[in-house]
Amino acid sequence: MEPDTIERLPEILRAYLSEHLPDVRNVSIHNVARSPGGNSRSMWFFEADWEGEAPVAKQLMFRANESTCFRDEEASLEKEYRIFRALQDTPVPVPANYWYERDPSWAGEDFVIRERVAGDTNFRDLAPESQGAILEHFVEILAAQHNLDWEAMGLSFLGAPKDGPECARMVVERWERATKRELLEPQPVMTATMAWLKRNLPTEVDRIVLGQGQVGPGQILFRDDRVVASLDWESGFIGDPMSDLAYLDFMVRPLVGDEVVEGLIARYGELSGIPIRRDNMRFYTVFQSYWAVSACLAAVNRFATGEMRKTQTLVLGMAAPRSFLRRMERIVREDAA
Amino acid sequence: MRPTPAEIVEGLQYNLKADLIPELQTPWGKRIAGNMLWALEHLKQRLEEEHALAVEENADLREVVAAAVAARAADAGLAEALAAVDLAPGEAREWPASEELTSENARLRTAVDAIVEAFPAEREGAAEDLWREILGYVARQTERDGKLIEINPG
Repeated sequence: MEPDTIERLPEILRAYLSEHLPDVRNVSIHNVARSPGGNSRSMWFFEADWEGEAPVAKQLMFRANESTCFRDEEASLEKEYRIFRALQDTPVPVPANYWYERDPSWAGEDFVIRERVAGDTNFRDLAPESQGAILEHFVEILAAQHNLDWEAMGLSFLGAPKDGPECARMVVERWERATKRELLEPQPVMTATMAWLKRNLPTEVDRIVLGQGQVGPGQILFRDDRVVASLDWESGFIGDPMSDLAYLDFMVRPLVGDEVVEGLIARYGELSGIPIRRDNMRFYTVFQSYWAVSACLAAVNRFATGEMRKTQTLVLGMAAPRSFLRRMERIVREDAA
Repeated sequence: MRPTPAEIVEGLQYNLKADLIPELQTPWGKRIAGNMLWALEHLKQRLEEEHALAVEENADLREVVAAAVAARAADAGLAEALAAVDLAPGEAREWPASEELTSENARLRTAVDAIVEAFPAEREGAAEDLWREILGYVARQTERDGKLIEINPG
């Protein structure tokens, strides 16, 4: 966002809420603070107050469309808003999303105003018992998420594969296009990984589900060892549930160890009724790494071309994808050995 | 000229750590300052190592291209698949300018990319050896990039 818009944000928010809450009076805005969390989009926390009744929380968040790494073709703010709205009142806990605004006269770009749920995101520093309890609860939520009737929820707009083989093919084609669009210089590691992905496309998928894309710690809020909100649905998709499970596996295994992770996977299988397909998980370990690197290429592109020359874009583009890049490179090389 | 660019960068890093970051009041401000520290450290690494690493990478890429030429001669299927790929190895000059290194790197990477794109699905013998050669380059390049990117700015 432009610096003058950031400076005027309290007044913009006051005017916006006054217009969108016609039954209340004297709206005031307090404690507007930039959120240090989240890498993809700019967010501000704020408190609102008013006289009268409205079905809206007073602890709120302003999430701007401006993204360091995502393009609307793959992960738009509107898409995320629609998923959040569809998840309201399901077993997946999400913050209430009140408004998605397209009119640029407010803040110069699209934005969402949503509830700010109280909770923590710093999973890494928790005691092992707390980590285990949160992950067990999260796996219950993931199993429930994978049993949601996404067609009835109106989520077919995400692009529904017609059968199992199409699940992987669709996402691979989407992110190959994105990679080619963003690359500013040839990257043989991406081309070699794409060749691996095309050679290893899974064909057996037991259930086509609503997936989150980025899953688990970093994407959840917790309180008292329970998950209170599932965040970041901009990478949501319809496809193979093993994709989410693979992401959870490689994100938490280094933190909690093999025994805990294997227990979580078994528990997920019991609760969801979906068989665990290890070959699919291996494929999605590489694919999830590929798309994470690909998304970060957009950040490099934005920084280098001057579209968004900010250090948060630079660091996200260059430093953030390293662990993903090393993981995919290692698996592709191991398979050739 | 003294101070060197790296020495100037170290001065900026000192000011950020000692003078600016302790004065910052918000988590967002501290995060951005951390990003700036990372960027400065990355810049310092680039100033000190990027040229030598690019020379090394280009030599590595030339070996892959040479291996592709040899494999193409030994394997009819590979020869057909790579028929349209430009496999000119190019020449390494002893003291290349940065611009020359960069354009040569782009040309060689494009060639290796084209080899990977055109690679036949079935790999054995010379083709299999070439594929491993390519993945070896990819692994070594990941390490080289890591020296510039996987850094701890303190």
